[in-house]
Amino acid sequence: MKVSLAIRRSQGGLEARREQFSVTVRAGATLLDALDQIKDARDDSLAYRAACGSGGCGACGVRVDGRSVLACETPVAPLVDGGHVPVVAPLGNFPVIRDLVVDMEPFWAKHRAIDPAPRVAAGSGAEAGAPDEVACVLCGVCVSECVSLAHDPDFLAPAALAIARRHVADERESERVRAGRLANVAGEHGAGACVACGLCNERCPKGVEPLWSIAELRTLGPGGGSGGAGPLARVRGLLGRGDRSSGSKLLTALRAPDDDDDE
Amino acid sequence: MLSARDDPTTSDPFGQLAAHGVKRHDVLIVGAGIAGLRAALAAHARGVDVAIVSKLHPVRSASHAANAGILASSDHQITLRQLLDAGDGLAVRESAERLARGLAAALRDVEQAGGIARGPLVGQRALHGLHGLVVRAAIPVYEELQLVELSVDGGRCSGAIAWDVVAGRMVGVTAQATVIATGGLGRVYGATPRAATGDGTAIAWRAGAALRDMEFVQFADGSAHVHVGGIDVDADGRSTVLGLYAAGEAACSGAHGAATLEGAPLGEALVLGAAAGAHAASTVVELPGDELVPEARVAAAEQRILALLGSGSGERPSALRAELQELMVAEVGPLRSEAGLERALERVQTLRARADHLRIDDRTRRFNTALVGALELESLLALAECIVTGALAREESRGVHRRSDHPERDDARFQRHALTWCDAGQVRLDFSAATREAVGAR
Repeated sequence: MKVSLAIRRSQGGLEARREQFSVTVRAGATLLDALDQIKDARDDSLAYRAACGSGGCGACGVRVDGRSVLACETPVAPLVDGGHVPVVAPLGNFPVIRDLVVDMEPFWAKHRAIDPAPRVAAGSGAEAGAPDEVACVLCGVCVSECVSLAHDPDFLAPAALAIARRHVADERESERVRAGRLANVAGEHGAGACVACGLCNERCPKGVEPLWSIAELRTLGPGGGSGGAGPLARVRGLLGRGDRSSGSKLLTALRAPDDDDDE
Repeated sequence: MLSARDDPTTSDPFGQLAAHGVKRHDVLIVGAGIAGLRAALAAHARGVDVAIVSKLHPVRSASHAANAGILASSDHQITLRQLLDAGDGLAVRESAERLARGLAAALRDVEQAGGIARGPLVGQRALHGLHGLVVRAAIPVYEELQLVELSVDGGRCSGAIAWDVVAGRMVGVTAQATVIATGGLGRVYGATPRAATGDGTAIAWRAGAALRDMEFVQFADGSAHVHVGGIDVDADGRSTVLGLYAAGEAACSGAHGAATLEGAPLGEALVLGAAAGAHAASTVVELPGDELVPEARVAAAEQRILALLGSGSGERPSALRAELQELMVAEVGPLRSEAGLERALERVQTLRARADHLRIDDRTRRFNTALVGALELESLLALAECIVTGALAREESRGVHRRSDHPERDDARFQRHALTWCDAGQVRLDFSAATREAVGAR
């Protein structure tokens, strides 16, 4: 199958240009396969990240026609249907190092800031159950899509907040630790800064729904949910986990007339 | 939120290095999967200054796919017997016993970090949890550094030299003890994860360390699944080179013998990782050294790498890699024969010679993944030759090594470990004395 991609290329994000490549890939090929084919057969200077190639490591996030995806899990055929030439670009909301490679350090800094490991004594046994957030592979797709982050670069953003919620829900941790975690995500750039666009829920390749994690942090946080937990909690009640509704549907629900009941 | 590393004008991505500067730590861990992170935490707990170099961010490591779980062990004597049985006469009793005894504590550690013994996302939960603990311990992780050389002089390892992929420059890290935890080599067979290129194993071999039982590759669904062989280490992770340790899939402690038991590789990544990290830390105290990675050596390594950039006339690394993978699947898979292995050996040696002239069009230093591919290819080819050489020499079937022309286990000739050495770049294989400690039940 012949595939053409328009790839956004740059050095350090400067003077980005689009370059179109056409390659032949096997049936069932992924976007990552197509990138590999371009690199191996056309231009070895094309830079992108990939580590596992099977959807588990989170390294190969890119945007296709503006939508953030994991390249290794995205079939390429539907993208080029009808002769369409999709635009492949680096993840949004990140500085670009080169071509499709972004600097993840701002993302990791936020991950580090939420203290991403349980604070429990040795011999406490296993964490109860499997919180939805353990599926997060820290790929940055949700962060790439995040509307709130585009407005506030210091916003902790959905991935870090989802991981924070996981640990808040860890019943092995003490009340004091839990209160500290909630206070840590309650500031100006914390859970309250989310505008609930819902794109994180919609685009997460692993089915994690960070918006609901954020809603829960807001409900549990200092002040019992100041900063808009009410509407979010209500939307969550309407849609619930597992309903990966579009951002617009969420916003419609948030703007519903009975909003007044919540605050 | 631009970081220092994002600024293309910044010559010092860590804010601490001069040009060709050599960083100094007590213990250096190379690789940030489960074994490497566990080793780092163990060394840190002993109060030494430990740092990690990894070609990937830790959570990108192949360990996330270790989904067979952690071998359960309610009675370590029973587990030891299971390991020896699975080892098919080639397990090293001391290593197997350390593994069996260590499993319960390893599981407690993992649970404390948010992991589980079995079930969905076992590998990912352990990996992310241990990474979280490394974050909390503020252990420095130098990410996206590709190991290029180990600095070994007078039989002692004094650290490593690595290519900083993001900054596009060579860095040296001096350490009194270095732990290789770079994972498996499934990429020799084209298996995923694509990062499993055995860099640390190949580079330890070039630096003089012995590899053990390289011919034992465990397959599942037709692809390479776990490498049973690796850097020859004892139950404390010590290699044959002073100051050089290994743990995880890069290592071969002998605990698995000729085949791994389900859940044993992840168990050993934890147990041997902890042992290697702890022993490496004790070396710092007991055998202080003042050898540094020489700056001139770092500069020379950089010159060697830069000479590859824009080198025009040879073959693309990706083409040679694909040829190697096809060959290994066809001739060195689960069922082998002398004729096929001889063909494979000749072709691997030819590929190694062809790889002396590689074509890399990309002249950019920064994030040059074609260059990384060339470095990885060097490792893949060397390891392939070690595997084929071992498979050819071992004229028997044992564990996961099956020979159609030698279908029986032959204890008289081959109840021995195959030790592979680097002799001026060439593969030299010796069999150890017969293993007495490892008489598994048949």
